[in-house]
Amino acid sequence: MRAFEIGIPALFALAACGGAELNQTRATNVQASLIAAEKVGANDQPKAALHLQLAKEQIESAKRLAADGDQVNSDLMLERAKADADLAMQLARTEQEEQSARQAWEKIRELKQEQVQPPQSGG
Amino acid sequence: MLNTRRTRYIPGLAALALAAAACGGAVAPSTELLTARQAYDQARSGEAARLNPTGVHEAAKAMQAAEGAHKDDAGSQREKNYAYIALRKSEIAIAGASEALAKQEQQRAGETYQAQLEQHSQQAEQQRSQFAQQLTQTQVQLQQNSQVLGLRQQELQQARAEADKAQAELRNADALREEEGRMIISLSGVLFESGGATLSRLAEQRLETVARALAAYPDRPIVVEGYTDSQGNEDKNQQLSQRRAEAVREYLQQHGIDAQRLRAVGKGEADPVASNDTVEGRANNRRVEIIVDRVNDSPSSATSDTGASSAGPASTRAAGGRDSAAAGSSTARPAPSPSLRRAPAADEPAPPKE
Repeated sequence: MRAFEIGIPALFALAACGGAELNQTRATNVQASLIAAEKVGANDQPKAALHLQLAKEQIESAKRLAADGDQVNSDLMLERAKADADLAMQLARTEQEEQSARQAWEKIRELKQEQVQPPQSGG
Repeated sequence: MLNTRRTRYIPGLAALALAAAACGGAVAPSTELLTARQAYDQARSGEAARLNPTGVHEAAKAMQAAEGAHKDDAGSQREKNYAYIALRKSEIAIAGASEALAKQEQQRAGETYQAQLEQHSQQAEQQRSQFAQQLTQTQVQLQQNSQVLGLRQQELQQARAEADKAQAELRNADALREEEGRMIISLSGVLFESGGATLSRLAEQRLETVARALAAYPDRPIVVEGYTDSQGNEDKNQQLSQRRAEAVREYLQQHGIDAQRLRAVGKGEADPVASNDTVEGRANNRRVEIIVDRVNDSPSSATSDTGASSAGPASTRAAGGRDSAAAGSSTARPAPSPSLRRAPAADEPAPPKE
């Protein structure tokens, strides 16, 4: 089991220890988005990692707002966190696909080079 | 279908909301809202509209909510939060479009790669086919060469066998000997008409054997030396011996010996091999010697020499020539072959006086 699979539920579990609880449905949605983002490697890509971090900070803010009894803004903060988590996932996926495309063209370039200059047989 | 229609309307609605906000003269939109509007504009007017309409639709909905919040409570935290969400949705739409674009690129690259591979494979096949063709041609050529070589070897073996046989015949007739690496074939008896240089039938028969024996030495120079006995005029004997040597040379040339290898030398009365005092001795002295030199003993440029100036093996012999022959029964050669001393056969005509 990877670290994020333990870390993210813990992020939400703590919320339950405070006074008011986070909106359960929204919290679950955010949690799912965070896990999905980390699974596609958002932590390994700087821009995506930044949004992942923002999402986590916003969860903390949502918890504080919930604790203060501001449920409306807590929900909005969770929505913001989800938007950041979704963006992190999208950025990571985009990066992966772009990298695959670059590798595919690199393979073509190598193949063309092989055609121009056939490899010398050993011996 | 419904979804597509909604996607088409929502950007319009958002634009209307923006216009309304601008005309209302109300509180200015927050920085967050302005940023969100800018991002949304970028999403709906760029590639995202074509490649990721669902994402743009989501952004439009979020933008609508942000504009609604601005309208209800301009500058509020709610407006800012919704604007923030709209900004992220627009960014997601743009990034989603980039992902779609990257996938399209991958597909295009995959197709190009396949085409390239096929081309590569076709070229390799073409090359392989060419090599195979060349190999076949080479093998055929090799086989032909091998056959030709086989035939040549067979011919050569036959020629060698023929030459060996001829040499054996000459040895049996005591007409062949070797001296210092040179092979010397000595022919005596009735070889020419009396006083002339026309080859007798016997001479032709024997020279035919000689020609076959010489075939075994295709690269060695040959010197034909003509000799007479001491009877008669010395100058005439000299000329006669030259003509006779040339007759033999000509015969050999006509029977396959390269003219460049042949040289005729008239030795006259020089180098007798027997006493000129007896009929038998004179018969032995009237002779033709065919000398097969060593390879490096190439003849001088002329193919016909006269006189004893030739560097033939006879010149290396010990005391010879007319004087010694005329002096008595002593012979020039220390150990002449028995055949050289052979007397004319009983049925042979008496040796002509020369």
